[in-house]
Amino acid sequence: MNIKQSYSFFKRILSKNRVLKRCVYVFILFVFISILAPFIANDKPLVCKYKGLWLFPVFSFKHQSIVNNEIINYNMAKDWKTLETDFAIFPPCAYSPNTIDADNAPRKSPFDNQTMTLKNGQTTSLPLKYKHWLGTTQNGNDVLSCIIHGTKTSLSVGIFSMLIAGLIGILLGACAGYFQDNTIKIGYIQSIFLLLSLFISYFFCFIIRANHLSEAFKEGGLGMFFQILLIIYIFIQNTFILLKLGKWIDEKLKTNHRFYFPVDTIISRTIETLNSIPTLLLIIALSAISKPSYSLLIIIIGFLSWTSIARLTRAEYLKAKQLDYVTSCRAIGMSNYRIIVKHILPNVLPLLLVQIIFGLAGAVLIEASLSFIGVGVPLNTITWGSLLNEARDHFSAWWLVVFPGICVFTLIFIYNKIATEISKIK
Amino acid sequence: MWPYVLKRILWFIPTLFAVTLIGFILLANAPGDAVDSLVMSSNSGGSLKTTQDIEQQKTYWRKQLGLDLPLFYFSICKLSEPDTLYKIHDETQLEKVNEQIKTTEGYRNYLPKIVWYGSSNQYHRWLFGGFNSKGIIRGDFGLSISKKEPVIVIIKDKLIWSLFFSILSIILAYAISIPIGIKIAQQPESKFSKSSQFILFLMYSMPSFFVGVLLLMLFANPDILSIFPPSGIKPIEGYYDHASLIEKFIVSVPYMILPLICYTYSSLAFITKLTATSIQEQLQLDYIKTAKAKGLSSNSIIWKHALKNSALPLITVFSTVFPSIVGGSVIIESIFTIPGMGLETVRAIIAQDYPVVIAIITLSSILTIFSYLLADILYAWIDPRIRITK
Repeated sequence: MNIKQSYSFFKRILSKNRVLKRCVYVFILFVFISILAPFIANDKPLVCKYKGLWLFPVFSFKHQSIVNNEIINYNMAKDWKTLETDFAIFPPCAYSPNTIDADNAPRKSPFDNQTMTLKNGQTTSLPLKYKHWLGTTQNGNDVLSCIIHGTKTSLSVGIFSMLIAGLIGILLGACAGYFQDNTIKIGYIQSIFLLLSLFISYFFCFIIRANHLSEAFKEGGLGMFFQILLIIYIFIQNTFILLKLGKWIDEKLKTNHRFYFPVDTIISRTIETLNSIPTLLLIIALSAISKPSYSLLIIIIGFLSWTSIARLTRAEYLKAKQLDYVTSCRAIGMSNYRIIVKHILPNVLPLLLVQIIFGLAGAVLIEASLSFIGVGVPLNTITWGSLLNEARDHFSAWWLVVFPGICVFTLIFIYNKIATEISKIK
Repeated sequence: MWPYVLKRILWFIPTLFAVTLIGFILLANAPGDAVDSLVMSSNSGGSLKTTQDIEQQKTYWRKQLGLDLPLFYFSICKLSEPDTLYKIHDETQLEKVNEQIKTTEGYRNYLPKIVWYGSSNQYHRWLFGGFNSKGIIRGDFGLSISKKEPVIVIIKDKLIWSLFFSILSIILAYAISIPIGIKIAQQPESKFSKSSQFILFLMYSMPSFFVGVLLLMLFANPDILSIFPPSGIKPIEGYYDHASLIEKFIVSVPYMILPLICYTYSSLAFITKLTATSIQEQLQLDYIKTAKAKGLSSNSIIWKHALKNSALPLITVFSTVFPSIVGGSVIIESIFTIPGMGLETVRAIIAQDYPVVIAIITLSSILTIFSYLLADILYAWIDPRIRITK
């Protein structure tokens, strides 16, 4: 299925189902908000004219500019709002998430009289364009701005972790379901070489490169992803080479004893073991042991939540293997790889997509829960969960409960609704 | 039936081992030196003056906690490394030795070897017991670093609270959602079933921490409605003297209502949907027609015949709901400050008390494995076909 075909396919589905269409639109809205967050909520004006000079503070990467020998610091929120500009257009929400508005510091409700101090020391009520539409937090951060910038965290944690989980789950589930316990045969020498390859790969990945690994995991970010990819590559390469070598030796020695390799049993047992550990507890413990960062959280959620996808994939492949089209594929001598990827996968993908979207909702929930209890996430970023956490000690601050709560609820609801609607189509 | 049960139990042993292994790997990788913090906190009075005294204390505690042993039965290491490297605990010293090995030994740095240590290792001691430890097999999870008490003493009361809430909420969830599910199955197009399905779906998407804080804000807030107490599980002054168990329970009821709502509501949608679909399936079958033809009332058909046959998927749910409730307890307990395992986990992580964290994870995984086992055995007990085919 190429891009044009799949586009028209999605268009057809969306035009049939009104609920699904609306949900997808709201999801796209979330995506746009997360991408355009710096332009929607920022304490710098989009455009301003100061002493005859046009400035575009949001779009520039500089931290300060000098206008007529006066230094304007882009980081100071107060400066921009009290600056006597000739002309200024602020974003719809005129605050950054980390801007601290000391005048409205301890939790101002949206309906309270919000004030601001002018340059000459006078206190006036806040003009409408600078208003905190959803109130402020304990420190004086703007809630609306925090919510807008928190969208990015929630969306990206969910999507990237489910990408990892989907890849692992579909790969392992397909192997378990298609090969089962009675398809792959390996010889004795080959099996010894398999163990040997695991041993050697473990040594080269974790013993020799121990320093690199610990450094990369301390720093987090892309270096960590690269190290993980490298580990996977070393394991696959070693296994591949040694298996071929073992097969060659087996053929040379003419050992006829071959036994079935229990792919299904191994993968099913792994799934069972991972399932029996409460995911949230394990994630909390893992992220407490290492330095909290979002890239690590994505990896942990991804590597722990593939089990449900793998289970479903395995069941679907088991079912598909009995069907006629797979039998005829095998009869004309197609390779296993081609049957698995090109023939069965497109047939079961919609079902797997449903499971992955449900998983997205779960990942969002995990991220929000962790930032709610304040464990395992970087504490300097304000997200939906951490806003709710602030309300725990002050119930009178209803705006800290209701707005971020509704955001988490909406995102999870949309994911769940999209998944159920897609599952109804078939 | 017994051979089937025995086979299942045998299958669960490797899973148990794997779970304990994961717990141990986490414990071994925990940052910070447990002995260091133990000695430093006991030295706050300044009783140990010289560094030699401190070193002596450290070696003593290392021996007591079994940290002077190798980690595992075997270790994979470089050919150039001596096999007693685990005995060095000082990090700067270890770095020096490693540097020396790296520079003096050439190609031997890039060749692997396996060293066999035998059963006197930390994992074996942790699992089966050994010097100064009974092992987690006999319920000894080691020593809490921050409280200096055996972990099992700390966990024991908390486990009871957590189990109490999770089991009560599962029972409540079944009691509420099975009747609703049956009603939906009977009249799938009626107003009641449509609206209840929609409401349950909304509730399913509500995060539990949002519901918890919302409930507290509405019903335990002196500004709005102050019906329920905001936190804890019993009055601050404690129960009155000589209170019996039932009296204690009655005193605690107002404290339990909000947490129970929080525990229960999210699994309602799932169980209701499953009940509805499986009973709908049963209602299509011939034996229901026979029962109708015999003149049985529709209530007795559903409750006595259809429900029994659709019990299988409901048991499966039990084994998926239980782990999620154990995990969810971290959040709900920290909202309502229930002295359970979840709250203890958060406390232990903030205090960097890793033995407690690992003990809680291992224990709840073992509990989950047993709930799977229970579900499997219940399966076989209810449906004899399973024993024969598997």
